[in-house]
Amino acid sequence: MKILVLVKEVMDANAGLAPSPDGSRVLPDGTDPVCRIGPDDRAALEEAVKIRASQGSGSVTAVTVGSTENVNGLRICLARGVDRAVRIVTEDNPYQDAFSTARIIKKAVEKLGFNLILCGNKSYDLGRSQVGAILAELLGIPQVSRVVKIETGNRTRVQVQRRMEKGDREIVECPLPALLTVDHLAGEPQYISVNALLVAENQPVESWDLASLDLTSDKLDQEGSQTRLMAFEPPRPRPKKIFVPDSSLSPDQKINLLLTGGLTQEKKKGSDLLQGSPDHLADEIIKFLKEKGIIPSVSKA
Amino acid sequence: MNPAGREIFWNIPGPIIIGMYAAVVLSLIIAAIGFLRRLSRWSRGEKDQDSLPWIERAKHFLTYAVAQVKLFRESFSGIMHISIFVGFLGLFAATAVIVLEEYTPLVFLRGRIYMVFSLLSDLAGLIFLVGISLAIYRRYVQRPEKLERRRGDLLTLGGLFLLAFTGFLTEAARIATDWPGFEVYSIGGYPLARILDLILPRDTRWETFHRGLWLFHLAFVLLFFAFLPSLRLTHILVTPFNLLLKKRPLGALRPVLRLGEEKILGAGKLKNLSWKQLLDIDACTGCGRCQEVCPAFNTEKPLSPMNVVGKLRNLLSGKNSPDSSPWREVEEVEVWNCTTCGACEEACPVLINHIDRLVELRRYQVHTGNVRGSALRGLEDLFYYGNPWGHPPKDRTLWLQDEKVRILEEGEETDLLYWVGCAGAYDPQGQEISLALVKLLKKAQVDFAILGSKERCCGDFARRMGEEGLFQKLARENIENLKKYKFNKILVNCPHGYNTLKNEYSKFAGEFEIIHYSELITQLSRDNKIKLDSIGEKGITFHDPCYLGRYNKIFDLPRDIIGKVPGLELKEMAQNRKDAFCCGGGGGHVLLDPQYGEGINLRRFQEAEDLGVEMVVTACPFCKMMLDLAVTSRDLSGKVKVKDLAEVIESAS
Ligand code: SF4
Ligand code: SF4
Repeated sequence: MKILVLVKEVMDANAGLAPSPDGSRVLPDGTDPVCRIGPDDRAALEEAVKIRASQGSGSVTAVTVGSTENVNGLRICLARGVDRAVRIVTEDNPYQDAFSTARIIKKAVEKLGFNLILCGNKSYDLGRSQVGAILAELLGIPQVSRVVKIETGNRTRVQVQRRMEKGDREIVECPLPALLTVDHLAGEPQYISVNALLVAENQPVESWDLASLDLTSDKLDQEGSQTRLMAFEPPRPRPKKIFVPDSSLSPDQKINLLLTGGLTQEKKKGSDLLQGSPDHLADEIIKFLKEKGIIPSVSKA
Repeated sequence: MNPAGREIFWNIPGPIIIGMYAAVVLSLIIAAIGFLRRLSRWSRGEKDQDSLPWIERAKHFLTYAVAQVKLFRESFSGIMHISIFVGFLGLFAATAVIVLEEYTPLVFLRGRIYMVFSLLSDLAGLIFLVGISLAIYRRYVQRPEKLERRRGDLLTLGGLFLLAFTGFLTEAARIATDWPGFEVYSIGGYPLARILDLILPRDTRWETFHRGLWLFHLAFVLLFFAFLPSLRLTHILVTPFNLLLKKRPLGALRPVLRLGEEKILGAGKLKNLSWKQLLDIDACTGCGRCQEVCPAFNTEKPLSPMNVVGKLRNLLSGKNSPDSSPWREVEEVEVWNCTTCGACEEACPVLINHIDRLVELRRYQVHTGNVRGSALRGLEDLFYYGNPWGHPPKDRTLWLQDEKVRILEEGEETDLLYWVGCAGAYDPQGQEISLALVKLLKKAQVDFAILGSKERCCGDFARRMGEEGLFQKLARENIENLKKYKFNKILVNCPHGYNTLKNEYSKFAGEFEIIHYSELITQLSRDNKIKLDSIGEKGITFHDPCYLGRYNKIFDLPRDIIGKVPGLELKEMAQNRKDAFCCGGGGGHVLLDPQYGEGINLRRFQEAEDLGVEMVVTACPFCKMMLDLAVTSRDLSGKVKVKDLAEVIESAS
């Protein structure tokens, strides 16, 4: 089976970053930046390598889109054992959105060929969960999101478990080729040692430019981007109550309370629960969004 | 009367003597083959680049092989072993003398010299017999739990006993043949001859009897040679080499030199251990001393250092070794439960290194990605953020609060560079220590500075966890960084950082002068730069951090400093100094989830609690965290305090 893993190399917000003066971007703050792939992407990588191992054959190719400044992401993929790593080199472009990224990837994955595409459910920086869905739509293949378990016994279909709220799981089956966006709850990944990263440094990373995919950045800017990022705001820190357990409790009760932060079950608030077929649900949602003026009433041709 | 003396092969006909030579040669060949087999197995191990100075090795040899001092930590087994050892050496020397007499033109076993010789060699034989009897008593009557039981133990002890006893019988039969007067000096053989004379019939044909016994004795001697390279007897041959060739001091690890060449590092096969680590495995005598002191074993965790060696030894002597995988016998949990406290190495009478081997085994697990839970998070956070708790690097100075401390800029100079360490920078318990130390330095008007957010974890956590690549990455970054600044000494309070910077960075071209605050405080108080007053508390005890005490032999300084605070009364826990019981936090365990048995920290704190002290003083942020946790879970918060020595001295000054 030919598996593609899409990863996004992100700068860790925990180290080396600060908002730009105009607030529209996040920039290096002068201290050492940390480039990595997020936990969802890491889980997708892990699943890809595991599927290959369980099938005893096939290949895994890691693909990323981005500048060549920080190259940790693909190196992590190589260290974990992917067969091939491809970087589609783009300039650092503030206007590039999920749609234009998906369009770039579409060209690349068509060139590479695939049976299964795995990517993280959410990127570690913007967390918009869009590229996977848009890409599947552009490719016209089924997409399952928030996947936590993948079974590929039969090579023409996959059966997956989706993560739902409150620990529920939904079992979904779909034909291949397909795109799955993997959730980090899929399981603890293997540790990747620094030594393995050093070994991976000697492995090749292919660089593809946009021209090789018949794309130009101008064209992408004009036609590709559907949204524009206006500003960033650091989240207001949530006041955290420090919980002190009652000293009369037994040690394991105390530990339990500490682990849950002393939470007691909160009452659920009422909500509008829609039920029905997917088409019906989609219609209802669109109607709701239009009513609230969140999306324009005229749909794109 | 003839002068005292005897014919060596008296009463033994020529053909038997020839047969004897053939048999001796044969048994020696068997022994040599056995020994060479072992040698060839060891030689399949990897190179071992470390070494100790020969003068130190000679000292080891004299102290531990000749004087066997560690054995005397237990008097019974000490006396037992030294008797067997001295008796054996005496008998060996006697045989050598006889060989000299027989095969050289020298003739000296005559008259008075012969009598002294008889006396001494019989004495040696008796001592040997006593030793063996004690050993049999210990192993089969006393039966201490910790003794490793191996196949062939009874055969070995029984054989050795009979070897000596048939020797005496042979001698007795010879004496009983014609009762030469001078033989009263044979203090073993002569009384035995008298007894035999009493209990055996009058018409016993002593010469035939002697010949038969002689053959028996010979058989045991031959068996002894043939079995020398196997059974527990091996240690006679192997242990002296093990002592002489010791590679590393307590707790030191074998550096990996070729990072980035192969994906998998560590012991996936026995031959991935170094030859010396394989030799160690064969040198173990199974005495159980390591297990007896091991904090993991003592708190019902699935680890006994002796058992790990035992399992590896079985594999090493088995088929396909050294190509076989240690994981056929050794379980992962065993290697993860070690706190690298060093108690086992301190106790081992034959100076076996356990920690380097356990870490080689961890390395394999790490490099096959098999790390889970908090260990996985700790290593990843360490990789990305330079500290195992995953705090942002820029928060490394938050501990300072309002305290003004100079943060060294590139090219600037200071006398003392204070290395805060991850615990000191990020952990609330550790922060209390760094703050106290900084205040103390200010009071004593010491010129000092810190690196601030440019400091990274020293790498101890990574290294003990078996993530050597990450350790070396951190070490190189830190060393390169340190070289950008001018300072005379680096002051470290965390014993893990102290050990790493002092003993491990030098292997990566990081030669700096490192001092621990106990050294600095001693100096400051000698120069009258700090004055110490009473602090209220009276009864305290001192818990020796493993990495300060056993690893770096700093035992007295903290105690002397405590002695300078008026009113403090130091009570020692039963296990102190080099025998101190670990707090449970070493070897990465301060971050790992405890899974088995009782908490090591609880066990250690119990000792302090039994003393009825008001305060437990230590000198390590990890020890402080672990013991403080014990206080909380014993519900003694407010009654017993856990403090670092730096905090005590700061409040006393
Ligand atoms: S170092 Fe300590 S914990 Fe590890 S095996 Fe030795 S005694 Fe046990
Ligand atoms: S390793 Fe040392 S202390 Fe432990 S059983 Fe073997 S010889 Fe004894």
